[in-house]
Amino acid sequence: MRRHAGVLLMVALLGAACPASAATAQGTQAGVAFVPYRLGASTTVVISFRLGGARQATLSPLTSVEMRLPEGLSAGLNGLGLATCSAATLRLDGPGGCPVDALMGRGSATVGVPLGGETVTEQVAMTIVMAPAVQAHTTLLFYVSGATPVISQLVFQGSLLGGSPPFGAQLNTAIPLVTGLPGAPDVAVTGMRAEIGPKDLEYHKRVGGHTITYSPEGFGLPRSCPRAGFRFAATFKFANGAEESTSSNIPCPTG
Amino acid sequence: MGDLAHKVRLALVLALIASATLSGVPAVASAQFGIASLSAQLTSSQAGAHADFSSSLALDTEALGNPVSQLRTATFALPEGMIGNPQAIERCPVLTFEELDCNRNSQVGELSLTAVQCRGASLPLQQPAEAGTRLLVVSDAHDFCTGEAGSAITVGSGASAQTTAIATIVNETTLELDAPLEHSYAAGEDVTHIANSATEEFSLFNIEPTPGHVATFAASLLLAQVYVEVKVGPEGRLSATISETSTVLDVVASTVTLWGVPANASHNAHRCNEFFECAPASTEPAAFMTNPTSCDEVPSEAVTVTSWQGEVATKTAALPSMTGCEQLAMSPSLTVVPSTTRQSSPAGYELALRVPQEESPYGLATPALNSVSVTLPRGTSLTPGVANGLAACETSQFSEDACPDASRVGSAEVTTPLLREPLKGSLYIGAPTASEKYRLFMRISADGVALDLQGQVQASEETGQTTTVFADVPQLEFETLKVDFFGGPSAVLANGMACGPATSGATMTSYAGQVASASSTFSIDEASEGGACLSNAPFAPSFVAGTESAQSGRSTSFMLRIARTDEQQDLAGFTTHLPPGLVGLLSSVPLCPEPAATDGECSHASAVGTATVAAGAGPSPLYLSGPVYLTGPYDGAPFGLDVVMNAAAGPFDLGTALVRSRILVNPSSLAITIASSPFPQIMGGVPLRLRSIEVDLDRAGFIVTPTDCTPRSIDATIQSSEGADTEVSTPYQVNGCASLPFTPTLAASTQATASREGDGASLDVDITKPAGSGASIHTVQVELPSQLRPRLTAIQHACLAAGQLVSLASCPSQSRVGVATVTSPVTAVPLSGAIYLVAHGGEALPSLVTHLEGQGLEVDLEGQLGISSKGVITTDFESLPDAPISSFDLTLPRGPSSMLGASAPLCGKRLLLPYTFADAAGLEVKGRVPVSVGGCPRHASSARRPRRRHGSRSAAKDGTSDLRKARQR
Repeated sequence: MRRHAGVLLMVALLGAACPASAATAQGTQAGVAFVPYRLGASTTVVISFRLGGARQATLSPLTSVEMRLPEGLSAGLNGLGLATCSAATLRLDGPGGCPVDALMGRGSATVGVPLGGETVTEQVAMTIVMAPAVQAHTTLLFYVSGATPVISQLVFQGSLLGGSPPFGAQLNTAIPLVTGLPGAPDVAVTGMRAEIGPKDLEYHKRVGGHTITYSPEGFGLPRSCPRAGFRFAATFKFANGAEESTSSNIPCPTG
Repeated sequence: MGDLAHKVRLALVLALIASATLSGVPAVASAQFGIASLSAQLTSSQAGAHADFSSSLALDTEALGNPVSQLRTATFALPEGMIGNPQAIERCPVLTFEELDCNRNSQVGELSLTAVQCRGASLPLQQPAEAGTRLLVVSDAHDFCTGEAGSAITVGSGASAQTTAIATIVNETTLELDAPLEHSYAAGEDVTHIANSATEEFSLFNIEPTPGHVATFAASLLLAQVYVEVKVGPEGRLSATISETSTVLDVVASTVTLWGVPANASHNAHRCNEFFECAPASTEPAAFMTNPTSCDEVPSEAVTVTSWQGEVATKTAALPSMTGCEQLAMSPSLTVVPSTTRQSSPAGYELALRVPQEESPYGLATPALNSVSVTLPRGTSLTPGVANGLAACETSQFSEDACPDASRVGSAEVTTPLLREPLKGSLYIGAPTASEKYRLFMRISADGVALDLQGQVQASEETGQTTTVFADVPQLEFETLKVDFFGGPSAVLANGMACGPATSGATMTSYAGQVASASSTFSIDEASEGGACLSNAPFAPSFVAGTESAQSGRSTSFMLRIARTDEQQDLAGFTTHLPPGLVGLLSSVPLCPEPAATDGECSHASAVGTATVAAGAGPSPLYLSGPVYLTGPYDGAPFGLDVVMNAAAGPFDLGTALVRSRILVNPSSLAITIASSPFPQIMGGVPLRLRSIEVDLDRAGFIVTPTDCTPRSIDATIQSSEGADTEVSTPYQVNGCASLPFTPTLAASTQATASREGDGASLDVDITKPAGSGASIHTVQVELPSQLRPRLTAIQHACLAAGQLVSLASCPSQSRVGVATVTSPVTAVPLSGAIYLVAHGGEALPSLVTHLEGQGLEVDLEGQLGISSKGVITTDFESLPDAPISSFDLTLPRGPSSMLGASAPLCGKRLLLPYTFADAAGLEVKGRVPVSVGGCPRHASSARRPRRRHGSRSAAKDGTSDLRKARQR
């Protein structure tokens, strides 16, 4: 039995954020959206993908996603991720164990857990935190956790790297192989929606001896929009060596 | 001999008798009655030759020459092996003998008697006797004799003693001498007469024997007859008795001479009639006496004499050893004929041994048989059925010719030249001794002659082939020795299974040392039930098994019957598979421990039933029974059965048969398999030829019927002694399952200290059921509360099954996610063990496998995990063993390997655990129980009042619950 309810929900959300999406030849869809989408303003980057049905059928887990973000998007995080949290802390205590200022964003993922003759699709929540830099690269940790029908937890890492034209920053996410039931295929991430940015984030800081809550700025959109829009691309790699790529443009905002 | 001599002899005999009669004064016995001398002679020492035999006897006498006592009987035990053939010599009728008119051809020898003519006497002179006188005065003049034979007396003693003769007896006190005295003698001096005797020979005629004797020889002394009666002793030794010797004779010596060839001319001078008329025989020479045919023994003769005064004396005389045994020859033949030539059937067996006798008077006789050994064909064996109603004859009974009829197993017949008629008699089973298990007693008789032979049947411990041995056979001339073992249902012997020739062999050893062999062949050519002989015996035994009660869930007894017909191969073992649910309540029986189980010495407390076997061919097999004990582990199985059978049949104790069986228990269904060890095929050399096996497990409260009324079967594989296997089956089905009460209950709990990660969450589930009553739980489905979820970390460490099989022993420790305990009357101790999370790869959802152990029993219960479309986790135990249980406690504990985690804090939440029980009849008991959360703050406790469980059968019956839902599957 396969369940697609989570995926459908994700697609709906993407649509609401004016996403641009593209599909690979195998049907894998990827998209990038900005929330809010105002030129020259701080924004939350919404990155999403959903593996195509054919790809899911292969049961070969996704091992990495390279998302090349549009050029012009500020490379700096503008006060986002002021603190860091380690993977060990996440595994042991969950996001609750991390400083709130380490929070980078939230999201959800769709995970396929093969159980015997069927794969149980589990919709899991995702929390993104700033991790200590690795080799001087900005490093993010993605914490996903599900409870129904199986209590599961997964931590994987992403690196924010500099990009080259026509793209800007590049988010490389390595998704570790997660074994499931012995003898059955590994647990597979089949879809994800990650919101990296100030949306719904509340940081704390001390001002005048008081702790105040504020919203960090996050990514900054350029003041002008390229003629063809903001171009992005995504490459998906799978455990069996397969690779899929897609690219598209985010239309410039109207009005 | 001339007429003068004839008259002299006649006169002598008359004188012997007259003097003895007249003397009439018994002597004062100052010496003991006894035999002064005994000698035996043969005219040839050649073994088997027909030599003349003579035996001379002289009795002890007192100083005056008188016999100490008058002879009454004299019995001559002839040397062993010396025989005579009275049949070869003409017999004189008794009346003819009494008329003194026996034919000379009937004379077989001579009797020589020496008797006192005038008894010795010594009396003192009553008056002085002067020299020159011829008269002597004594107290009784008639103590002395006159005449030539007895008139010599001695007067006085020493130098003046004078010997003279009595002229006449003047009166009662006065003797007149032939010559005057030369000296004077004072009164009181002795007048002495030393007894003088005379010897006379008499012809011995072969007359018609008196009853009880093989021969009677007789001699006539005109006024008296002397009879020499010959009989055969129990050991076959000939003895000749001169009995009731006339008191008119003061016999002091005798010689009996028996001729080897009476008609031989050398005896012409002694071949005389009662009137002493001698002449040659007018018949062809025939052998009468025959020398022993053993050269190893020194032949001896023993003589026993008795007096009229009741005294007894014995003496033995040796003869020269026989020589020339190597010159003897024999050529026996054997015939063995069964009463039926059907396969594997009880059969009578006639064994006839013929030993042609050399009868030439001047040749050498056939040597006597010392031992006979007859080996019957391979396959022919003793049969247990003979023990039905059989008794044994004790040696003492045999000696007294008092063997019970129930010990008679055959007849015997012996033909010997000694007797006109064959010796006939019976064959008895002798009481076993420590060294001889199967003894045979043969008593044969004819004409008052009785012979006892003892033999034995040796039965091979490996093949059962029998050899009948008669050793130390009496040294008699046997022309035929025939033994006929009775046939019929209780025959001693049974034919083998193999078709075709069946050869018997015999080995005979003579006393002379010759060894001869003979054989006889018959053919097994017919099947036991008739028709053509079956070269390849079939094997299609019947099989019946079941329980006394067909009511489900009842205590009952179990029976199993396996039987075959005669023509089939022998039974050798079986393995039977009982249907699930037909179980034994082990907790009710103390298991027989080791080494008692191995030694077959279990106590009665472990008995669970009885076993009965029928052994032997034919319509009357022997039935043996013995207890069946429940034992501990045996041959890799957790339990065993001991069948201990004392194979005591009739007089035979073949030993104790111990047949052990393994009781194997299917770990999934608890179905029982009983696998016997190979049955003994032969005991004490007797092939058992097992015909049927009956096992009754009837201990009260031990066997319980299933609670599943599905039609099933009791299957078995039966092994034959030839290695064949046959599969058999009998239908089995109980009834009344739908009316069995079914009232299981369930309780569940967890702990408040639950988490998603870390040590996760616990869950305890307790299922209870009234012990030992009602239907068994066939299926269980429980649904996890939504707050308790399996953890991926546990799933990752599930034990991977290879196909349908999982080796729990090799499962990683992290896959042990819980423990379970089952309490059941099936076992004396609760079964407990670990719960494993088992993965089936990509084939199926994981399962929970509970591996329970206890009392050597291993049980695996598998519950299949399921996930509904709503993400509900269920566990289904779809086919639980049909066995009475009283509780089933399952614990999935907290810990690093905890299978469960809590998706949210549990306190204050209402956790519900839906469940469904079903029995085999399809009745479902459904409910939802709250999962109590232990350790919560009081106000946050999730414990709620349990919802009413619904769905009990009893509720359905009285209609008080409309929630009950029965579903027939």
